This record gives sequence, structure tokens and C-alpha cells, in this order.
Amino acid sequence: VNGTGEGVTDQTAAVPTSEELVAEVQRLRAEVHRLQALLAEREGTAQRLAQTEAELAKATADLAKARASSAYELGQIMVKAAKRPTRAPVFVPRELARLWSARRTAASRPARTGTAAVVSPDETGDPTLLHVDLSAHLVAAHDRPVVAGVLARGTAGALEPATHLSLLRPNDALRIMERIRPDVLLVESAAARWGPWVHLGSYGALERDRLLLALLDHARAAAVPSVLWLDTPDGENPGLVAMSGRFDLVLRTDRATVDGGPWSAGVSLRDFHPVGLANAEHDVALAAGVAPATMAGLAAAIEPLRVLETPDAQVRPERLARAYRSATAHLAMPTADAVTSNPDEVLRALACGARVVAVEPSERASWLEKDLAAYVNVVGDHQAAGAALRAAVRDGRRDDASARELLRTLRDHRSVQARLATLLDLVGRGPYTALAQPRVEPPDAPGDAPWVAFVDEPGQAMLAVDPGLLRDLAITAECVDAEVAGVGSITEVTTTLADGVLVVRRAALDAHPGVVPDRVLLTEWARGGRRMVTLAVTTPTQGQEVGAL
Amino acid sequence: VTAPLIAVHRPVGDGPALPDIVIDALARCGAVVRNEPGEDRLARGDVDAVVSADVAVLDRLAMDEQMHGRLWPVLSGTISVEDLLLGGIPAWLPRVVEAARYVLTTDSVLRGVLEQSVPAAARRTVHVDPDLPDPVIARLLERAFPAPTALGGRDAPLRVVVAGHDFKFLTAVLRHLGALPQIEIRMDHVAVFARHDEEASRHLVQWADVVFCEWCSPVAIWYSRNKRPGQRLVVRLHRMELYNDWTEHVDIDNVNQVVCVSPHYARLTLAKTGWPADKVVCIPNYVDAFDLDRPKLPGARFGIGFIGIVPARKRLDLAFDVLERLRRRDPRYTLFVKSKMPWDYPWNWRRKQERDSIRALLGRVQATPVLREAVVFDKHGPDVSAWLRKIGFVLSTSDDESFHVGPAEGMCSGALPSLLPWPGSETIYDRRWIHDDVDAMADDIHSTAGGSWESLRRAAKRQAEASFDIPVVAALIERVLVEDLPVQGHEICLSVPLRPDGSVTPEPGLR
Repeated sequence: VNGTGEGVTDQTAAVPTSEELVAEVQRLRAEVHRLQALLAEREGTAQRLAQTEAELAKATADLAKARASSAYELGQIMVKAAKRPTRAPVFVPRELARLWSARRTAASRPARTGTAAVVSPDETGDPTLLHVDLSAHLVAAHDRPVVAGVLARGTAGALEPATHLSLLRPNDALRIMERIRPDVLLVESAAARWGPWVHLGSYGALERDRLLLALLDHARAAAVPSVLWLDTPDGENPGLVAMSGRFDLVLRTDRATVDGGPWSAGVSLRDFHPVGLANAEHDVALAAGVAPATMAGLAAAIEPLRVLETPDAQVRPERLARAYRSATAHLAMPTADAVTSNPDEVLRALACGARVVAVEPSERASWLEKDLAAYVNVVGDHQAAGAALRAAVRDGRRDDASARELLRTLRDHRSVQARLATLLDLVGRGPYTALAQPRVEPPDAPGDAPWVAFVDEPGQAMLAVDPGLLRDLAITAECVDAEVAGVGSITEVTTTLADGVLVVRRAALDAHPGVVPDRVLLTEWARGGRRMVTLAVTTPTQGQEVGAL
Repeated sequence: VTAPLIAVHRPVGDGPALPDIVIDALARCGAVVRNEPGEDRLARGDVDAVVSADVAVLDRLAMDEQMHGRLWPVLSGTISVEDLLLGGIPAWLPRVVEAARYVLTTDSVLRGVLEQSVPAAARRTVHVDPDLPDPVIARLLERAFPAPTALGGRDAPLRVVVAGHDFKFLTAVLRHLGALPQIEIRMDHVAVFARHDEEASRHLVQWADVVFCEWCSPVAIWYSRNKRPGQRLVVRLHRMELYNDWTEHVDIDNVNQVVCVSPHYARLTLAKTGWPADKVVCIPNYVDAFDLDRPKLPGARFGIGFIGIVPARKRLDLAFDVLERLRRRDPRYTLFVKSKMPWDYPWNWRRKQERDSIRALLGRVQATPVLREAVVFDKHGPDVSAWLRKIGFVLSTSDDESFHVGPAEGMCSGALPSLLPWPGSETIYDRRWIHDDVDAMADDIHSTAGGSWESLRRAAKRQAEASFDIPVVAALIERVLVEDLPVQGHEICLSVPLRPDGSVTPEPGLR
């Protein structure tokens, strides 16, 4: 290198930025999927696939390396500080301390020969990396909470839409934790009932318990808060209870832990909702596994109601939802070891349209008294439960207005998103705007609301319509994972917008920038597989209560 | 048979209390129990076993090599499962366990935790149920102090040389035979597979009444050419030896009998070597049914077990095929693999085919959503009995096996075997457990898990215990040391066939 700088290659210009690498990873991953589909049909694509996978591996490794760098993390902190200048003095020192601590820990560890998961692990000398698919855990944009979890299947499914979820498995958990920076490490005791973490904390698979201890050690060193959620009886997982002191926060489902009530992960409205509610085939839904003695006492009280035993929520959530939807009422009561009813059970039944009777000693029912007081009939014993259930069956299903109000309440306070926001606040990682209640904006309004509304004519001010209706549309769309929600029959929505109200997910609209949905576009969307939902019109008047879910 | 003398260490004053239920059961089950308040008389030569709960005393005794194999520590109340999990393993524990013949505990949870914490504790830790101690103690005494079968009535011990480079398929049988006063065993342990100390062998061949070569290797060739006239020579032949030329150099005229582990391999041996048919007999591999007999953990019927995935001909890919079919029916099915990984064997990892195979398998797990949460690779280790508690079905999908002990272990644990028809499988396992293809295998597992799993596993357990348990196999080995076994009646190893209704008689108790 001479003094003038001539002959010096600009190294930085040749190094792609992390954003470019993210885009490259996404592009290459899409390409891999496309080629995989073609592989069976076309000869000769195998070689291209291998080449593309190799490129993906390299790009992923480069991205992982870039994201793991202190400079990148520092940049992220500064960007966050610029976005939230008022909170910056609070969190910037904390984040810098965390970064410094994590780096110091990493530096004290012996160097590994392999640093990336997908770069020919046997060539790096560490074939154990073959267990890890790091690309599945990369987070392109930190727009949702990053959760590393040891979770039951149903919980994972419920959390997935609201988070960047890294579901840890015994064979890759430590590797993944070493390479991602989650907002929280969440361990749920129900994960030990079946699946890869079965018998965790039961002393029946000590290998898992020791692995969990290692994960907790890592989380502490990396300043990642750890949360233990005990949603099974203590007798099932005594080892987890013994380990609870190693967690930063312990939540329980069977007794009060936070907010004066038992912890609930919240209800996933995608799994449990009243959309498509049919006529009730049963009078009462009751969780399976009620103790025989309890059942004997209960039988006389609820005779002659038709009782349906509900399946395990974690095995097939959709079956449980169908069971709740098929019953007029649900009876919740504490299991043998629990002090209170299972809050998740109550919320799921409510979300599916069932009336809920909960057997709770009055002093312990405070968790049901806040926003849910109008929807849950709390009784003191089985005899009273029988009378309350008969009354609930006599009253039948909730009217439309009440049902919509309940759904709004659940979405705002008791949904997975709402509870996740609470959890992150509890561990000092909130707030996340993406977890807030669904907001609807006019199409040309700035901001980051996830939903855009169109009313009658494209561009008409949406304020003329009841904001509650727009929210109902957005919530209904969330329930069934739709991108477009409207009022009227699906034919009307997809063929004409006249007299209609349309709420469109902003991401769907962003795919067609500058285009206002009209009937042509909606028809095209429908043909293209976009998911749409409508509220049936009963009183199609602007500004008034309309529709039934 | 003389009753065993068991010294029970009961120190005066404060100290860890020995559970009376254990001591009382020992006396009830025929042992001579002698209370010893001090340490000095514990190590006497006439004592067959020392029972103590005093960790300090046990640790001191463990230092004395004379005591190795005679210590029976009782670890109930001296250490907790929480301590072992959170506090680490105390330094004395591995020392005491390694010196012990059996480790007794009245806490079933502690048993499993010990085995998963201290490798030496596996296969020697015994749970004595406080509510029903006698059946376990009686079985324990039968194992520790077995009665002779073929060797009964001998005036002088039979002198036996056991030769070979590796005794992993014979360890428990040797311990069983070694406990018999009617036999004296000396080992000709060859350090390197194909070479041995001929001088040492020359001395041993002069001493021995019988030579038992565990492998049909160059050592067996040497003994077949150097044994004394009239001296009995028995050679075991495994899958590996059949596929090299060592058999050609064995002087078969000097071999009394060749022992194969399955009728199928006996037939292959005869076909390849042309040896006289009456010289090739079958004795199956053994399993330790006493150790494997444990209660299943909740949900075990959804646990699919696969033991040993190396080399690739074990066909883990077919197990994945089965699992995919099962998961489509119920998401609770999980495949647990208990094995070393291909890269743990340097000789194996040098083979490109093996590397490609495991890369494809693990890639398939990552790329297949239905498998991603359904496959767990557990650490290889001796704690198979504890591991099997969560397993309801043990798969065997190999291209080729000489025996495959995994399904037999599973059967003794109360799981069901599920095999694909590798050559000879029907000569070891009942056809009820053998399926034409992965579809049939998945169909059977799913229908059984949802129905007759409880009753069928009783039958499977009975079959395996009656055919493969250590005393059964040891009795056959004992017999072949002194007489030729008949060739007839060995179409299948199983001695207890399944009835058409899927039961056997009598059914054993299940936990």
C-alpha cells in the first residue's frame, strides 16, 4: 500500500450488507423450494438445486456471521434508539451492557471449528451441526418478538403467527440458542407430556433436564430472560419445579402468579373462534380426565344434560375447537392439584361461543371478575354448577352483539398477542407494537396499522362507518387467517364493492402498491388463492350494529 | 447349594439407616444375614456380599480391590435426585458404584437418575419396592448366586479358558458362570483382533479342560491346531467372521461344536464352510430381563425406539417412513434413536457412503415438517433399560442382521418388537412381530397402540424372557462346555410360541 492509497482495494465495497444478505437468503430459499417442486418432474434440475443450496448455505453462513457481529448488534441498538428517542436513555445502556456481557462470555469459550450450521458440517470438522438447520431460525426483520421455546405443540401453533418462533428441539437447542438472540426463552411444562421433550423434568429423561440446565446457563450468560410456565400438575414434572429457581420468571396456570390470577398464554383466535358456529349438538362440554369421585358428584347435578368430553388441547386444537363449538355451555373446574380452573380452557371455550360456568371458591375467582365477569358464571360448588348449566342451556347461545363484544374483549386482553405483550413487559422486553390490538386505518393514512379499510366507494372516508364494525371485520379475519374481510356474501364482495365495507390486510395491499381493490382485483385475488371472509348482513346500515359471525 | 453369606453393616450410633425392608427380605429369601457394627470384619473372605448405606465406609471399601463385586451399597436417603440434577455428582459416587456388584435403592426415581448420571450404575442398580420387596430380592439372589445346571454334581471345578478380543456379547454370561463354584474361568484376552500371545495360550491350553473361543478368529484357528487330545473346544461364530476367510483355516475336526446366534446363520455357516451339520448349533444372544423389567412411563405407547443406527444398513430411513405414516394419524408418535452417531466411529466416518447417508437422513428430518418435531437422537450409553421406559415399540428395519438384540431388549422391557423381514428374522422372532413393509408396520403399530398393546406386550415379554434371558442362555453355554448340543429343534430360537389369540402361557406380571 502506498501513501496515496493507490492500489488499495475497497474491501468494504465487496462485502454485502446484512439486509442484502437477508434478501439474498430469502430469494435463494424461494428458489430452493421452487426447484424442489420441479425436481420430481424434470431431469437435470438436481444439479442446479445442489448449486443453489450451496449458494444458500454460503449466504446464510455469511448472514449468520454478519448478524452475530458486535457491529451489527450495535447498529441495531442505535436504530432502535433513533426510533424511540424518549426511551433510548433507558434501554440503550442496558442493551450495551448485555452486548458487552455476551461478547465477554463468548470470548471466554474455546473457539469452535464450525461457525455456521449449513456449511458442509463434516468439512468443518463438527458433524454434529448436521442436526441444525440454522436458516430456519434466521430473523430477517425484528418486527415481532423473537421467542425461543420448549413448548407444547398447541402452544407453539398459537404463538407462531405473533412471533418469530424458534422451536427448540433436544438435538439443536443449544446450537440454536448460541446463534440467535431471542427476546425470551420460554419453557412450558406441557411440552413434557409428549413430543421431543417428553418426560422433561420427570426424571425419566435426565438427558433433557441437563440440557435444559445448559440452556438456562446460556440464556443467563447472554442476558436472555428465561420464563418457566408450569401448566401441568407439579407431580408430573418435579424436576422442573426443582429447576424453577434457575428461571428469571415462573408462571403457573393452577394458581395466582401475576395480575392476581393464574397465568394464561392467551387464546389463539385462529384456533378457537366462533366463526362457522353450528347448532349445538351437546349441552355441556367437559374436560376429559375428571376424577371419578368428582364425576360421580357432578353427574346428578347436571342430569339430564347431554355432556361431551373434550379432547386434549395439545394433540389436535381443531378438534377441541369443534367440540366447544358443538356445545352450548362449558363447565370449568380445578383439577385435583389446582387451586383455580384452567384459564386457557375457559378462554378457549368462550372464544368458541360456549357459555362458561366455572366452579371456583369465591375468594379465588378474582381472575375471572375483571373483563370476563359478564361472560363467566362463577359458582361455588357442583350443585350450583348444575343449576347454572341448565340455565345456560335454556338461554342458548349468546346474541350477536354480545358475541362480538366478547370477541373484542378476548382479542384486546386475553389473546395470545395480548398475553405475549404482558409477558414481554414482565421480563423487560416490551412493548411490541405489533402485538397491540388490531388497528384499522383509511387507505391513504400513514402509520403501521395492519389493516386498511375501504367503504362503499374507493377512497370514501371510513369514519362514516362504525369503527366497531371495522374492528370486528379485522378480528374475524384474524380468526380465520384471512387477508380480506367484508360485509355481505362472498359473491358480492368479490364481484362488487358497492354498498360494501372492506378491510384488507396491509401486507396483501402492499403486494399491489398503488392499486385500490375493486371487483376485478378482488376476483383476481380470489382466483389467486387469497383468503377472504365476510360477515353475513342482517342489518346493512352504516353506523349501526350489523352482521353475525 | 450353600446359602450366600451377606454381611450387613449397621454402625452403632448415628449414621445412614439401612432400610429394614431390604435386610428382612434378604433373610426371608434365603440369604444368611450377619450384622456387623464395625468395618473390620466386612472384608473377610467368607463374606459373599456386603450391604451398607454408610457412604464413608463404602468409599473406603471401594478402594480395596478384594471387595470389588462384593459391595451392595444401599442408596436410599443418602443422596437425592434433586442433588444429582442440580448439585452435580459427588466424587465418591462413581467410585462406589464401579466397585459394586449391585446398587440397591427403594426409590424407583433415584434408580433411573443414578443410571443416567453414573454410567457404571446401569445394569447394576436394583429397585426394591418397599411394598413388595421379596420378589425382587429373590430374583436378585438367584442372579447373584446362581445354581448350576449341566455342571451340577461335579467334584472338581471345570477349568475353562475363554479366548477372544472382545467379550461384549458374553459379559453377563461370564459373570453368571463365574459365580458358579463348579467352574473356574481364565481369560485369554487378545489385545489385537488378529494376533495373540501364543506363549500365554500355550500355558492356558495345558491348564484347561475346555476352551471356549468367543470369535471364530485367528485365535480360534490357533486353538483348533494346538488343543490337547480329548480337550473340548467350542467356537462361537458371529456375522463378521462368516464373511472373511478365517473359517477356511479352522481345523474343524478338532472343534467339538460351533455356536451361531440364530438358525439362519447356522444354515449360512454350513452352506459356506461345508462343516459337518452336527457341529453347528444355535444359542441365541442374551438380554438381561431382570434389569429391563421396569414400569413404562406415561405415554410410552407413542414412543418408537430405534437402537443402533450404524452402519447405514440398519436403515433408519425406513424407520422415518414408518414414523411419517404414524404421525399423519396421531401427532404424539415420536421416534427416539439410541445410538452412537456415524461420526463417532472413525472407521465408519471414513466411508463416503456412510457420510452421505447420515447427511441425507438428517437433511430429511430438517426438510420434513412431520419429522422435524418427531425425531430425537438420544445419547448412546449403557442406560438402555432406563431409556426403554418411554418406548412402546422397538423397530428393526435392517437389511441384514445376525440377531439384533434391540427388539429382544424391548420385549423384556414391556415394549413390542416391530420388524421388517430381514433374512433370518423369522428364526429369532415370532412372525407376529414381522411385517411385510413399512405400511404394514405402521398399520400394526397404530392399531396396536390404540388397542391390544397392553395384552400383547405381556406375551412378547414372556417370549423374550423364556428364550433370551441371561440364565436361559447361560444354561445353554454351560451345557455346551461339557456336551454336544442337539442340532434338531432349532428352527426358531423362541421357546414360547404365541397363541393365535396373541397370548402365551403363563403370562408374566407387567409393571
